[in-house]
Parts: sequence; structure tokens; C-alpha cells
Amino acid sequence: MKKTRFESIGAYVPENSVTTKELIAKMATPPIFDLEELTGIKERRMRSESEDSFTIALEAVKNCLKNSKYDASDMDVIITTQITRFKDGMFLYEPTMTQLLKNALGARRAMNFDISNACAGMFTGVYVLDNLIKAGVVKRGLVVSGECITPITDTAIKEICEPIDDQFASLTVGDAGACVIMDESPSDEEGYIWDIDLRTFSQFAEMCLGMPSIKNAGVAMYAKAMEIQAEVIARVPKGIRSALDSGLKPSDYDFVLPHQTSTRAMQSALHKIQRLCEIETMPECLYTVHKYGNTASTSHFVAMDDHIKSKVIKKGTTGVLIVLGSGITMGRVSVKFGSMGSMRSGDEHDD
Amino acid sequence: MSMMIRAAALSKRNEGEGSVDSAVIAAENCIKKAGIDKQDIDLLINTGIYKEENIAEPAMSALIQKKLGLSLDPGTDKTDKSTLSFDLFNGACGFLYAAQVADSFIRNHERKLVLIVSSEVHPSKKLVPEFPYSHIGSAVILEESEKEGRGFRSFVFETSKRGSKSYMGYLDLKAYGPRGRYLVNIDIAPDYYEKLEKHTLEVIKEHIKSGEINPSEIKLIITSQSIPGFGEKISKSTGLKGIKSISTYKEFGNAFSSDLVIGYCMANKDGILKKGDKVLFVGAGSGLTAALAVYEA
Repeated sequence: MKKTRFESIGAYVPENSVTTKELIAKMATPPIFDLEELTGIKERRMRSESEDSFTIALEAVKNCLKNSKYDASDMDVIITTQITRFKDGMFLYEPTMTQLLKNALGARRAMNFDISNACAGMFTGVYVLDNLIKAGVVKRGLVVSGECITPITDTAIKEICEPIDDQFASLTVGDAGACVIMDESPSDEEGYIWDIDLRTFSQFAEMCLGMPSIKNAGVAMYAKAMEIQAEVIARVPKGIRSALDSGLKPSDYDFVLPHQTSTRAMQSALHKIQRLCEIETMPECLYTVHKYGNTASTSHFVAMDDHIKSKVIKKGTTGVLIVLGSGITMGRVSVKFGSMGSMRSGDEHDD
Repeated sequence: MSMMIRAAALSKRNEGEGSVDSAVIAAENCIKKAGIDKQDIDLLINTGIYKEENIAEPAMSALIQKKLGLSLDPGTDKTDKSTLSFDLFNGACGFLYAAQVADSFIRNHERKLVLIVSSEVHPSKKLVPEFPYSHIGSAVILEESEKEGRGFRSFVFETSKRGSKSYMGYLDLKAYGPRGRYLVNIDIAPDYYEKLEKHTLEVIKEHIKSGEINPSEIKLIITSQSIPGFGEKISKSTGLKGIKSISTYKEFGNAFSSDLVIGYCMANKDGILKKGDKVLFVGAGSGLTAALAVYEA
């Protein structure tokens, strides 16, 4: 069976940085807890007036292509996976976001479709692309997400009027785009994905709902954050134990990268996993939530891009990515990295 | 190895309140027809676009999965059965894109039983005259063919740059104010259907010419219903002369993302489709997008 790999990763974050203190100062009813201390989020990026899901996705693709040996015209498939679908002031259902990206990139021959699976969107796209490549339908493709999600923050600031409110989680998000190009792995040294496990725990489907507000113009998110955290923490160790039983070993990994929600939530989940699964040494946990917030479906790829740039992730690094999204979809992806981002010079296209 | 349809089913027109309800009714009918244990469905893909309250998160597939009682809390029994679900969007062609994705998962032995569902409803859940799509749920269960070569093959997906703005479905949230949950705009340019027809016919002709589609083996054409008499137009103006096509518009209206499944169900119901017959599925929708697949029943 073929193996696929992350051939290149690229991300984009808007320039405008807004601190948690600045956000709280705008609220008529500030939270009774210290949001920054609770989440570890010091700042997040917010879109400028000329930016939307489409422009953010497009910048992420361009940055990814700079790191890739491929051009846009080499892509056999383009899959977008954002929750937010803003383009030119509209929330766009049709045509697909991929059609518009494809036209903008000149990726004429690529098959294209949009996937939506909340914050598990990019990994759902990765799983689909992994299977399209393995089945021989395509040779290579890209998965991209442009999250212009801070409009829910604007709504939350306007609408929160109780000390306990389902919109508090909307204060933790940040805008970001991310893109990954995948192809068949030429050799294990050049990186590969060796395990993808995604499941939807549908009894929790309504615990986090994103939809237009009924009080103001714009979108809102209503999340039972504490309940979600409790249900997830109750289930993750079991998933990890079954992974350990199937032969995966913590020592196989250099890092663990959870969905970037809040440092406290991630740390308490990891401590519980370590204790219940009797893991002696946990792999290093990577974070970017403190500076970008929760960037929804793009969070792992924004974090990976950041750690590739700082050379924490380099050729030969192995990591386990812990997936979490409304639905609730949970799972893991195990990946070994090749020579990411340094391939373009001197490497010929393979056809 | 190839993939075929184990069962396909529909809800009645306007049965069920929202898109989740009608997709679930169709899925339950389909599961019954297939005679399977529903917990064996390990992949669920929803291809509906227009939905109640314009819910953007979670995927509508998760709400459908919950209502179907699939994989509510996987790992709590001894079977370790679980389902992954997600939404896949490509307008009226969504079913064929989802079928291509399902085909890959089944070929790779990554998933065994795939349920594809769809339904469209105005976000207010009411019958709104200017909303062009009929409210009906469709469902298909796909599995590995028992005989190599039967089932789906020759998927073709071709888009045209000319016309990406001639069809737009969107929410103008600023203009809607606090009514954003219950409104949607669909703008269709006067020449959209003409352009779409032209593009789709070109794609069919091109793939007949390349040999990907062999007109002499096709027994039946099942198409999107947005263009009146589309099936007949295809058989008249391509190399598929005289081949019967299914029109479901009179009974079901323009069911958009469910059209191809409705056509398949009607062909089976009327006994038109016999084992071994080859069907050409033709999807046509926004983008402009033409999607084709040959299916051996």
C-alpha cells in the first residue's frame, strides 16, 4: 500500500493583533473569570476590512506553494475545509470556495470540492486526500482552510450580558489560514503519515452550534465549553489506550499537538492521559494558542508551520496530532516529516 | 475492485420538517432496504447545501448521524464500531464527488459501508416560492461490488471558469440583520442554464471522443433536473442518440443535490434498470461544474 506525506505546509495570519485585555475592555459585561489566565491566550489575529475567508485561504495556499516543489497547475485536487465561508461580504454557499480558489490559482485541471466538519475539517480533508492518493485517483493535491472566524467574537462582545454565557468561547478564536500539499511519499526518509483515526461521537452533536445570531446581524457560536471539555477528557485516554494496544508507542513521537483551544484544557487532558495510560515520558506538547488563539480548523497546521519555521519540526521529526471538532469528531494523525520547505531548489517535478 | 449501490431510497416530498429530518427518513428507508445493521455504516457523507437556520457548525452530517442513532458514543460497547461523518459540498454535483470519495475509501479497504445522504430546505423550513429546490431527502448505501468491474467507473469532473458568478447562493448577513438564520439569496443569471447546458454537453462529447464513455454500451441517462428536458437534449446532441433518459421533474421538481439519486430510484422502481445495464450519470451545477460517471447495475 502506498504511503502519503505532507509535502509542504503554509499558513497565513492577518497582521492585526488584538490582546485579550483589549477584547475584554470592549465588553459591557466582562467575564467574572480571568480569560487570559484560564485559556493562556494573550493575543489573536483579526482580519482587516479587506480580508475574508477567501483571501485568507488564498494567502495560505500561496505560502504553501512557496514551500513546495509543485506549482498550482500541478494540483490534481483542491479541497477546502473552513467553517466560515465569507467572500466579499457574503457568506457563500455556492459556487464552492474551491472553484473560486482554483480560478484564482490557475489550477485548471484540479478536481475540487468543499468539506465542512467544524474544527476537524482540515484533518477530514487530509484523510480524504490520503485515500484519493492511495486509490490512485490523484497523484497529489492540497487541503486548505481560510478561517475568518472573529466575526463571532464581534457578536459575543455585543451580546454577552450574563456572567455565564454560551458565547464565551467566541472570545478565544483567531483568524488564520493554513494549507497542506500532500503526495505519495517517495521514501520513509521523506516523511509519511502512518496512522489516521477519526470518529464522530454524534451524541454530542449539538454541544457547539455556529449560526447567524437572532439578536444582531452576523454569525455567532454557542458552545457548552465546560461540558465539551469534560466529555472529551473522559474519552481521550480510552482512545489513546487503544492506540497503544495497537502498537503505537509514546516514544515513537517527538511531539504531541492537540487542537489549540486553551493551554489549561490541553494540559489537563495530557496529564490525565499520562496518568491513566501510565505513560512514563510524554512527548513534548506544542502550543501556539497563546499568540494566535483557537484558529478553528486551521489550528494544527498554523502550529506546525510555526514550529517548522522555528526548526522545532525538521526532517525526521515525528508527531501525533490530536483532532477535536464539533460533532464531536475526535481522533489522531501520526506523521513523520520529510525535508519540509527546503525542496524547491534543485528538485525536479516528477512528471 | 469496484464499488456499487447496495440500496437507495427517498423521503416523501415535504416529509420531515428540516433537512436533517428528511435526510434521516430517507436514510432509515435505505437502511431497511439494504437489510444491514446500521452500526456497520462506517462513513456518512452529507451533500445537502441549503439547511435549516443556516447552521455552519457542526457539519449537518453530525446532526443526521445523531438522529439516526449511529455511533453515538463509539467505544462504549465491545464491537469498536464507529462512524466518521462530514459534509461535502459541490452543489447539484455533490453526489458524484461524494461517490468518488467513497469509492477511494472502499477500494483502500479503509471503510466498508458508506451512506451518502442529501436534502435541501429553505433556512426558515417553510415553503418559500422563490426558493427553487424541492424539499426531499435522498440516501444511498455503497459497498464493494461482489464482481470486479460492476458499479461505478469513469468519474469525470470538469469545471469552466466562464460562469462562476452566474449562479450564487449566499447569505447577505448585513442586509438580513437579526433574521440571518431564516433567509438565503440565490441569484441565477438569465443565461446560467444555457451556459451550463453548453458546458456539460461539451464535457460529454469530449469524453466520448477520448473513449472514456462508450455510447454503444449506455442504456440509460440519469441527469440533474435543473435544465428542462436535459436528458433528451444530451441524447440528441451527443453520440448518445436514442438512449432513454429519466425525467423526474414532474413528480419531484428540482431536487438539486438529490436529483441523481431520485433518478436512480425511479429507474429501479419502474423496472427500467436491469442487472448489467450501464447508466450514465450526468450532474450539472454551479461553478460551472459538470460531473459524470458510468455505473453498471
